Parts: sequence; C-alpha cells; structure tokens
Amino acid sequence: MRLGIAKFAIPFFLPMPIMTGGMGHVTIGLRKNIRDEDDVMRLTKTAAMLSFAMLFFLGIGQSWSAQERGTQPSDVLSLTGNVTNVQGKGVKDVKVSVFVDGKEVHLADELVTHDGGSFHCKVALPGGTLPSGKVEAGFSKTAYKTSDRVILDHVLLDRKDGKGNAYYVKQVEHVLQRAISPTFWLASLILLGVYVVIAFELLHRTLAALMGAAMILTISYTVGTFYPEYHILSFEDAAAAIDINVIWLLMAMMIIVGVMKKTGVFQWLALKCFEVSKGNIYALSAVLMFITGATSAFLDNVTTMLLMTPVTIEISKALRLNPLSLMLPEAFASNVGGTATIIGDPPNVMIGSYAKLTFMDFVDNLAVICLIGLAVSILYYIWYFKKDYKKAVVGDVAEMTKTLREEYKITDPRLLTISLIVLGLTVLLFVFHGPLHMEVSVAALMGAGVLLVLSRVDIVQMLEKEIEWPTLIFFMMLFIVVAGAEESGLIQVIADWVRDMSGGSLVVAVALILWVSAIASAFIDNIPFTATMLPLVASLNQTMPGAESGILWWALALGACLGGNGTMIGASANIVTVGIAESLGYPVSFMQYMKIAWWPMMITVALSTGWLIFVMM
Amino acid sequence: MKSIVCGVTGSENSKKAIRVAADMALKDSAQLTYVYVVDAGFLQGLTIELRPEYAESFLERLGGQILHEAARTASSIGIQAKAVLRKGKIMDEVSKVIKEVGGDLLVVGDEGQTFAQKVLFGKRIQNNVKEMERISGVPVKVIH
Repeated sequence: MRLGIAKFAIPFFLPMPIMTGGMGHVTIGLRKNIRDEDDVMRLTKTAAMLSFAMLFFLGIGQSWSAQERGTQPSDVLSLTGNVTNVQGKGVKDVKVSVFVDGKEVHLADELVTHDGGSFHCKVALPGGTLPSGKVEAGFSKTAYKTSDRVILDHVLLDRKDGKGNAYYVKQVEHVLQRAISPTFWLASLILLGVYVVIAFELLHRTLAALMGAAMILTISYTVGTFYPEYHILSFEDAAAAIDINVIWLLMAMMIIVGVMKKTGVFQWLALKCFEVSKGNIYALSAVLMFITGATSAFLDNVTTMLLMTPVTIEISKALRLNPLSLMLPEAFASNVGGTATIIGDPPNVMIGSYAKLTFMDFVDNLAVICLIGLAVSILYYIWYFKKDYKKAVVGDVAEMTKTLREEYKITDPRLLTISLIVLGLTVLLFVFHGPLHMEVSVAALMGAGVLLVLSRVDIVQMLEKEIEWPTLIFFMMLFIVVAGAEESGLIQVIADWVRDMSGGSLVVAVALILWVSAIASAFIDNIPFTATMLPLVASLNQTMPGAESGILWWALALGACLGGNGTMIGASANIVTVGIAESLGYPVSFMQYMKIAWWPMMITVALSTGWLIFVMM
Repeated sequence: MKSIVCGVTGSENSKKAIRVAADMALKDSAQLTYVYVVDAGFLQGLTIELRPEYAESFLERLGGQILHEAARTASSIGIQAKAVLRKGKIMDEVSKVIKEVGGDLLVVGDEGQTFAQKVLFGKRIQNNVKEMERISGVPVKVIH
C-alpha cells in the first residue's frame, strides 16, 4: 500500500537531497585529483569537514522542523478506502486526489490505489481545519470516467495527543465507471490486428502476438508517458499478466511426451487396438476412438494423433479401407478426450490456471459428459462410415498383425516402464495438487524432472528439440495483448454486452458462452479466443447471480475444446490428421470435413448444454 | 520424350498417373523416375507448433511403400523405373529431380487443391498446373 505524505512534511526532507548532491560532487573530485599523499590528506580533511557541516545542517533542519511542527498543532486525516468498478472488482492504479475547502492538497508522493483497489494516506492539515472543513476526494484513471469529487463528510475524531494534534479517520468506498478512451480503441485495434494476422497467417502467430505485446508497451511508454490517456498497460502489469503456471505446465508436459514418444508406445497402442478388435472393423473403430480419447486426456492431442495415425493408415491399407474413415473419428475422439482434464487441451490449461480450478475439479465436472460425448461420437461414426466399413477386406488378421508388429513395437521397454511410473506419479500429484495448495504446473515440472533424470535423456537435446519455444512465447505474448484489452475496458464492454444479452439469466449466459465458444473455436484459433474469454467470464462470474459456482468456466471449456471438432482448422489435431492424410494421397476438402465432423460436434455441444443446465445447475 | 518424371502420392489419381507414365515411357522408350516428396510443413502452422521431423520418419516409410508399389506397376509392363524419395517442399524437390535426371515431362495425379489452397485461397487445379510448369520448367500432364 502506498502512503501519501502531505506537503507540510517536505521542508523537513529538503536539506537531504541538496547535501547528498554536494557530497556526490566532492567524491567525483577526489577520484580525479589523487596524485600524492598530501593531496589525499588534504582531500580527506575537506571531506570530513563537509560531513560535519552536513550533519550540523541536518540537525538544524530537524530542530527547526520539530519546532515548527511543535508550535503549530495539526489535524491529521487518515484516509483509507477502496475503488472498485461496477462489477465490484478492485481497480488498481487509480489516482486519488484530496481537496480541502476546494483546494487540492499536494501530496509528496502520488497517491494511487494498490492491488484490489485499496489506498491509504495521511494528510496533515493546519490545526482547526477539521472537522468543519470541507474535505473531498477525486478519483481518476485512464479508461475510466473521472469522477466528480466525493465529499468526505462525517470525518471521525480518533484521538488527540499532548501537543494539540488531532487525528481524524475516514473510510471511502468509490465506484468508477468505464469510459471509452483512446486506450480502448488502441487495445481493441491491436487485439483485432493480432487475430487477423493469425487467422490469415500473414505472420507467424508467435511474431504476431509478440508485435501486439510490443506495440502495447511501446505506445504506453512513448505517447502514454506524455498523454496518460494513451497509457494502455504498465510494464509490471504486462509481466504479471503472463501466467507462468500455464507456461510451465505446457513445457513440462512437452518434456514428458517427448520422452514417452521415444518408446514407441503410441504406435503399439494403435496396433493393440487392431489385435483386440480381431478383424471386426466396427470394434476397431470404437476401440481406436476410445484409446485415442483416453490418451488425449493425459497427453497432448497433436502428438497422440501424429503417432497414432501412421499405424491407422497401415491398418486401413491392409484392410483396403479408406484411412479417413478411421483417422477422422480418431481426431474427433482426441478433442473430446482432451476436454476431460486440465492437462488435456491448452484452453483447459489456461482456464484452470486463471480460475484456480484443480485437476479434480475438471474431472468431477467434465469427465462424465466427455465420456458420454465420446460414446455418442463412437456410435455416430460407426453409423456414418458403416458403408465404408462393410467394404473392408479382412484377411488373415494374425498374419497382418505379425507384419505390423515388426514395425510398430515397443522400442525401449525400460524407458517405457520408467515413463509410465513417472506419468502415474505425476497424475497422482495432479489429483492431489488442490488439497496440497500446489499449482498444477509444479506437479508436471516434478514429473518432467524425475523422468529426465531416470531416463538419462540428454537434457540439452530435450530442451532444444522437444520444447516448442515458439509456442510458449506465443502464449506469453498473447497474455500481454489480452491484458491490454482487459485494462483498456474492451473485455468489460463485451462482458456487459453478454450480460445484457442474457437478460441476467444464468441459463441463457451458460448457453451463450458455450455455443459462442463452440462456433468461434470451429473457425478461429481457440487459444487466443480462450485467452480473451478468461477475464470476460471472470467478470460475469462476479455479476451474474448463481455464476459464482463456476459453471461458466465449464461452459467455456466445453465450448472451446469441443467446438474445435467442427472444421478441419478448428483444432491442431484435425490439421495434423488432414495433413498426414493428404501427404499420403487421401485429401479431404474443407466442406467434406465439415460434413463429417460438424454434426457430431453439434451433438456433443448440445449434450454439454443439457449437462450444464440440467445436471450442474 | 527421353525422360519422364512422375510425382506420386497414395491417391487413386496418382495410381492412374503411375500407370500412364509407365505406358508413356514404354511407348517412347523413355527413362522413368517416380518421386515421392516428404513435406511435413503442415506441422508448422499449428498453435502447438511441431517440427517437421516428427512426421518425416513415418512419411518416409509410407512414401517408400508408395514408391515400391509404383516401381512394381512399371515393372509389370517391362519398365525399370527409378524411385526417388526426397524431403522438402514438394515442387522445389520435384524440380530438382527433373533437372538431375534431365526430365522433359512431369506427370502427376490430380490431387485436387492443396490443403492451404482449399482453406485460404480456393485456387483451382488449372492455376496450379501453370505454377508447376513455371517452377519445373517442363510441361506438366495431370491425370484425372
């Protein structure tokens, strides 16, 4: 909490900076002119004399100040308060001004609100000013309307000391209204620009986000330094906006997956699905989808698909089956499975970290609906591809398996054993990270560290090759861009609009968040979308009756993750699947993909709507 | 024709192209080269971006199988075809092979529009042929 000190205190401190400056000058002279011992002695004496002189003046200064204060009793007003926005959330960095009888009291330090919107200052006024004097406070901040002065009546006398000083206290609560300021337009334009550049791939997404963040900070510290209405975001707030929990969790999971994929376990799993189904194509499709979904709940969808699809293609070729009839349902299942846990999909990582939700919160609230969604998707795709499946030519399954087993086997059993044990222990830590008050990333970091030690994998190689640094930097920069939009009031405006649209109904708000997220995520990158929605949903949680249960977070998670299934560009797993298929001569058009995936996506989102409204509310 | 280069994938049209190229090579007594290019560039547009090498190893394996089948098709009509597997951007690598073997015709199956073209630009295959001819410097025959 910053303290404001009234101007009456300034004379007491004035001699200090003046004398410090003088000493600094002498010190420089000493360094320049030391030539011999006499010089040194002479200069030492001079320095000593100056020091005595400084102490003398200090003493006089203090004595004078004490006398001045002693002869003029003061009224000391202790002013504390909170400044919030209309949603009741504290607003930091609001400039607070104090006026007495219409004149502004000049404070030695600028008085601004701290985290949570609180402030505190002590104002020394000439004796007798209070309680009859008219004391007012003014509040101002970029992106907010400057309020009319608030009259601080009923100032309470706390105590009087022996010197006649009277101490008064006053508590102030103030609500600031948003204003459409230049920062609003600038932050909106930058956020929109980043979206457009990413959507049309005009620049690499990491570079787009980096440029957005750099522009926000540069504008804030160039134009914004001279014109506060252009100050979008402070450096400190930009640094604080980077959710390090998300970055560490993603990084640690990249390491774990990086080690695990060296074992050949993913390909082995796909082959096992073929063996288990014993030549029954319907069973093969169902088992492949289930295993892909289950794996994606704990490991990233893209890697899961990347490693499962080659085997799927080979199995399909052996069965003379169009590989797309197995690959596209697998991609769908990976997105559904990834929705079930906090580590399954990047939007969930972001939501969990922002809203302080635990691994078990996700499992408790989303696992069942994801299982239902997966089961329905399996049935849908078996029905959808039944004609293709009927055409499959099932030969000697044992012989086919034997051939594939040679190629897709566990390449390093020792490493696999270690990996599975460490992954199991990491998941155990995930389960208990809530009760342990431990951030989820700590569990993942521990798992990654132990796995690196036990597997004896080259750490430098792992850091260079397995960690996707551009992705992590993309997240960091994106957090800053969204923080700029939040600080400027853009997110608040959208949140207010959503609240107005819902008419205050939580059911409508849940449906709105879920469906808007789902449709948007089908066409645009769900990571920037989720990053933008986080503060918006947090704002709605504060103002929407009943939303404090956190149901809107689940609506966002289900919408952002499941919606990605709708089109080939909606999720990274889809792009990988389509890319591999196309590379091997099985192209699928945008509309073909939508025809295959759009309706099951709508079904899973509709099921989620029912789950949220009828089960969770 | 003295040297025919045929770019292959696993598609049905590519299989037709493999056969057409073999027939043309037989008719003209031309040298025949089948090329498969491993292009895992699609991994680089992802949010969780991955390096191409993650997909390259298995694409190499599956591409090798496609080339093997192509060579067998040519062999069935008495043509000994050369099989070349490369990594990189498809047209760049195919052009390099054409220069290396002194190719004077490129035969490819109609793969439709590429993924990026479909999503972003909606280009038709005809425009792509012109682009292929410009890059490769030889006539391009597309088999539908």
